[in-house]
Amino acid sequence: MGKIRLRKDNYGYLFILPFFLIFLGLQIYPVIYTLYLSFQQYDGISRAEFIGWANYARLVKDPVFLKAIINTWRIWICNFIPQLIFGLGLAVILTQVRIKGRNFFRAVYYLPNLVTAASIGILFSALLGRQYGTINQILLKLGIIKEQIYFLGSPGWSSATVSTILWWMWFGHSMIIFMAGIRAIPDQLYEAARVDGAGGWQSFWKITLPLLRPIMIYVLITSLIGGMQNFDIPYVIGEGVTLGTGEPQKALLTMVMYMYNTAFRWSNRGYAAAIAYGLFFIIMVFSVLIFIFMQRRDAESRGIKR
Amino acid sequence: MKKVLVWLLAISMIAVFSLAGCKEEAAEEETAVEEEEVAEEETTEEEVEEVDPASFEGTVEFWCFATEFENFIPKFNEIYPNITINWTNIPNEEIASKLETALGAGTGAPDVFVGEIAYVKKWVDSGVWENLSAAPYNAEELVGDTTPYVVDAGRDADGNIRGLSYQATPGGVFYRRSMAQEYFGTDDPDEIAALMSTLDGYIDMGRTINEESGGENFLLPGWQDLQWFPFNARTNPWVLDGQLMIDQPILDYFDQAKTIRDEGLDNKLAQWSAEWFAGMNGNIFSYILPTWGLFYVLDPTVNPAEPEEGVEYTSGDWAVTGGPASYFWGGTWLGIYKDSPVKDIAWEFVKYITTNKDFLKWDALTYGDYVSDLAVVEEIKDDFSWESLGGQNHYAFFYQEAPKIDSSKITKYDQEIQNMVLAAITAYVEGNLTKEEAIEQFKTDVQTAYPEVSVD
Repeated sequence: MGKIRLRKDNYGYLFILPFFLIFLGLQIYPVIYTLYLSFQQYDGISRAEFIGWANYARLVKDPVFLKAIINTWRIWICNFIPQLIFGLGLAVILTQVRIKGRNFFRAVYYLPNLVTAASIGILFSALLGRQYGTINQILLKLGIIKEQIYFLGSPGWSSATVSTILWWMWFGHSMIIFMAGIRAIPDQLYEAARVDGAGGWQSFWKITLPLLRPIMIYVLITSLIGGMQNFDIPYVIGEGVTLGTGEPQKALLTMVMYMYNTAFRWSNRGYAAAIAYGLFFIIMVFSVLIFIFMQRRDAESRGIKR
Repeated sequence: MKKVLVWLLAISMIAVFSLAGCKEEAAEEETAVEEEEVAEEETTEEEVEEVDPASFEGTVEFWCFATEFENFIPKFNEIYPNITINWTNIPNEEIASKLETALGAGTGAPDVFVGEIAYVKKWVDSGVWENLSAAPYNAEELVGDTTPYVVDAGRDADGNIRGLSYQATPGGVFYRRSMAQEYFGTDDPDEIAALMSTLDGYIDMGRTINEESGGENFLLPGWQDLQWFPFNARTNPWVLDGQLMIDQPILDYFDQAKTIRDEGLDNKLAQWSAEWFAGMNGNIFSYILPTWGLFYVLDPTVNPAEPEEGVEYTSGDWAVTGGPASYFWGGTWLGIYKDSPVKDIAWEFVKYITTNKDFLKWDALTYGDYVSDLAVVEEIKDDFSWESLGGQNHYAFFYQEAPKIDSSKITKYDQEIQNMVLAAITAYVEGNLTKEEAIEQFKTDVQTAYPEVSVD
């Protein structure tokens, strides 16, 4: 009897076929082809040559890859923590405190997220220009500094600059999500707390924060995955000064940028493919860790209910 | 059974669609071929010896970054009205990797594409460019008057010509006449050349400018602008027999850059930044630029088509002369893709742009570009007078410089390795690293990018 129903459903395959063709051609095929490439010595033009695990053997010992991993994490963490604090703080203020024009603020904070990376590159190279950049000129005029700061010339400054730009771009996005999360918390909880004599801080720590945890994990995962693939901002920021190679002293060299340089600047497609799989492996490990963590949380909370 | 039928239907549906697509294309091709045949028949009747340029028909896909082709292509079409050049303009930073992707995929590669000096060897050595020394091109017969280094740069390891160029690109130092007058008492190119005949002399000029202007004016926009002197002063190619070669001029460059920065002789401007360009109408004494720097960089900046208010443009206040060493910078070669389906018309295009004397003369007289054909150069070099250079004849100057160029040191590594040197010197100049650490960083960078190159 089940068979009859199945036959009916067969026509559905036709309609989902286009999706699967595109999925296979544009997603699965590149993934498999990259795996194939990672076992080759290939410069993009000449014949590819099979070299076994050599690319991976190099990868696990490559100090530059390690540096790229550390850079990627540093840039991400330095942007994520302030992003979380600002996003959460503003979300609480804009939902629970009565402020005139809160929709206006919400839109303004979200705005940087809509600007393309290329425009950000142009904007910030004008702001951060070494000799005649806006920020340096303002600081000089105010007498805060005596000599221009070369924001993109020292490893520390340039890394901090990129983290700041990413924070500026993304805290509005986190804020919107947190606002949605706070709205979903039932008002009765706050009312009950108020009746019991809890102040604003207490309700924040005891109600808002614990109930926002799933939302925070969501923000964490999406930000982590985005952060591990970080490429465009460090690239466009460094473009005018160091051609986007990750200089000074590779402080801006992220994992994806290292892959890009290897594939397209140095024409080593095989090793770049191995780097791509290294990146894939790192993201997978952390995704699994977070997944396990969430499952355990889930189980715990169900246990409490019971 | 029914399941099978549905799948068959689905597959056949896809097959039908894709076949329909093919059929249309095939039909189009057929008519195109027919037309071509008709055209050919007509011309063979009309002309017996010389082939009429109008008889060549078709479309050539052309990838290039050089904006001068905006003017070149209409000029070409005056002679060859039936060849359409489909130009895709891709910025120089991206064109090499885009081409590599297309060439690697084996589809979508253009029929004619350019190689800039930084990556021309990639195309020449890997054999993706058609051998132009062989029949039916016989390019050797056409390059008799071409500046020898230009031809040599387009030759592969076996000596076959694979790329040709319309320009030669010797360089000089462009300087402000008024500042020269003020600080050195003369704006005569020969006298200024004598002052800057060594790098020490050139740096000394910077000290004079710095002292007398009270730090307001600068010798150079940035120490990076100096790079072509040390890069051309090398005796070895960057990579020789798989070994990285760091010659003395490069080691000296670290110190020169540090001196220039520490004594405040440059204005700390990054090359090609907006501030760098603005310096031409501002407080910079000299820019180190080659032939194309005149019409591509200097003229549009000091004599723009749409002047801005409040800017004092310096057109006419410039002159060009020889610096501490002869050098060349850049150059654009054209080659034909080895698997192009339209090699015959592609060759007409390449041949016209790179060896047609009428065309090259027109290019030189209209835009002031220094062309590769020596016969043309000799014909016109004596009566040139350039507006932005205060009427100076820059052609006569470049004519002296061109024979001094040696293109034998070009390798496919040049662009990336030179970027790495500049990054290392930056680290040293900015005080992030010592000289030894910076040199170590440079070697490590080369090793990371090119594991096959030995750096010790």
